Amino acid sequence: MNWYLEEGKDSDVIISSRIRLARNIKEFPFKIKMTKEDKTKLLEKVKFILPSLGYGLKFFYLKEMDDITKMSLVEKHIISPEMALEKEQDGAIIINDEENICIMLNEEDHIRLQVFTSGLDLQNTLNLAIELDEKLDEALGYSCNKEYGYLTACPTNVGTGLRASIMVHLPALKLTGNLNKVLHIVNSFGMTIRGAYGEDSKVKSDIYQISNNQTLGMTEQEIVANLENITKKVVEQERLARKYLAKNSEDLEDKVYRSYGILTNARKLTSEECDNLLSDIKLGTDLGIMQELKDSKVKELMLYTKPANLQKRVGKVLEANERDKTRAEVIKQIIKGGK
Amino acid sequence: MLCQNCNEREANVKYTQIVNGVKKQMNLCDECAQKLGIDVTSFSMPIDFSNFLGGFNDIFEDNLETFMPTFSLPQTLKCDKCNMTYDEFLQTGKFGCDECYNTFHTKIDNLLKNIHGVNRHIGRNGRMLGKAQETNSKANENKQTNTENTQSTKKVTAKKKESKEEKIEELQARLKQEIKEERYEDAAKTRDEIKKLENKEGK
Ligand SMILES: [Zn+2]
Ligand SMILES: [Zn+2]
Repeated sequence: MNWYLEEGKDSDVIISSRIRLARNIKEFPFKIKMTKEDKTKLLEKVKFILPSLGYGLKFFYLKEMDDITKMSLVEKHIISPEMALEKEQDGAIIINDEENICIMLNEEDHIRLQVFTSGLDLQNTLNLAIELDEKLDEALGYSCNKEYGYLTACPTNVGTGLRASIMVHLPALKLTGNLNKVLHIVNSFGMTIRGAYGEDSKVKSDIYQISNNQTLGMTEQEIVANLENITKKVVEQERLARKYLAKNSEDLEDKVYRSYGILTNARKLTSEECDNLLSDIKLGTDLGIMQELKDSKVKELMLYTKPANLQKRVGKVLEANERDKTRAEVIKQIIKGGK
Repeated sequence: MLCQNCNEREANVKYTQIVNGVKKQMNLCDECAQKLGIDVTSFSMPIDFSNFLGGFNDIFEDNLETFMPTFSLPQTLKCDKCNMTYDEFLQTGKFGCDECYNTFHTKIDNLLKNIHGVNRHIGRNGRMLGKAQETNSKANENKQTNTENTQSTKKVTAKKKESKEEKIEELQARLKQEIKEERYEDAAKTRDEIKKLENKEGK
């Protein structure tokens, strides 16, 4: 099963954890000074050593992948939007069937090694990333020095090259009007908290991503421990807000079931409206206010109603209007389906 | 600006997403945005990391000129390996190669302090560490595969020793942190680990 459909630790609030390591190979200049030949050579070199990494990793040239597939990976936050939409398409991705490991090649750095898991588990995720990282270093030889650690194209990533991030669902903090306070505090601890989809002003799905800013002068263990610490506090606050909401559950129950009503009966649904409805439904399900849907169904709904994943699921390229109709149908299918 | 996907039509949709904690953006035309299934709802200003670079360095530059004009670095500072100038870095926010970190060393120290609060790395590091220094010092000598082979065995032993020292360094940093955070049980374990490593070195 793919990690993003699984239930992890603290999954009532925490959607997923991710570790990303930015690395460059010593023999090549960084991205902006690379020639086309350099880029091709780099891909071939990594492709050649791929079997030594294990984990059933497969190599895909970006230029050989269709747009819908690429965008479906962007929606899962597995690859970056630039990577998917870049004009030259001279990168590649290395990914396994479970999609919990994804290495982007020729992104901003030569190598962006990522490991994902559902729920909260940065420690094991980091361990797996380090294991793969050391194999890659052994085979390819990274750019590094004693003072600055792993050298990256952008100075915001230098040192450990580590960006850890956790996706959290914070609908109750928003409903109770406490979200901004929490965002502010998290930022003041040197972490970034941002809407995971769309603009800050209208964050869809109430899903936020918390990640470390500092990559230099702290060990990987410290970065991960700090991020987990802050995230746990956020989770505590969200659960408090949920308890408060559950006490006055009449209004919330009304809201949740209204959303469920629209979701299950609408004949046309835009992606944005759907995201908002599903956020209510996820909250209702996590709180036990509604029992109509299992957690795994909610996860499925959240994924397959996104534009590219929707098209990927039905195996057709669809216009916006067609998509909205198909979205409403797919929702009914998923809810009815035995899977 | 042209659409970054088709490169034909005028871009009028800015697609923004938070990736790796950094806001990233693509400029697309309506048609491509529709085709790629991107909701045409999020607009934002085209701001990225490089927009924020100027300030720190201007201040730094001023300070240099006021306090030690003779040491002021010329704006034309240029990396020998990739030909990147510091101005070019200020514009793009990206370095051209690993050697840039040596070339712009003095400026980077200041910049990194502004970004990360510190400017030195601690913890795990790449295995090329020993080799990088060696290649630098041998840069003027002719490269011969024969001599390189015998050298590589030397490098391995040198590397082993260094990595142990580094491990101790890393553990000491961890110990400090654990004491600071009052995680005394962990600190005790770390202390024992350091002892064990140091004893091994003695033998
Ligand atoms: Zn276009
Ligand atoms: Zn350079």
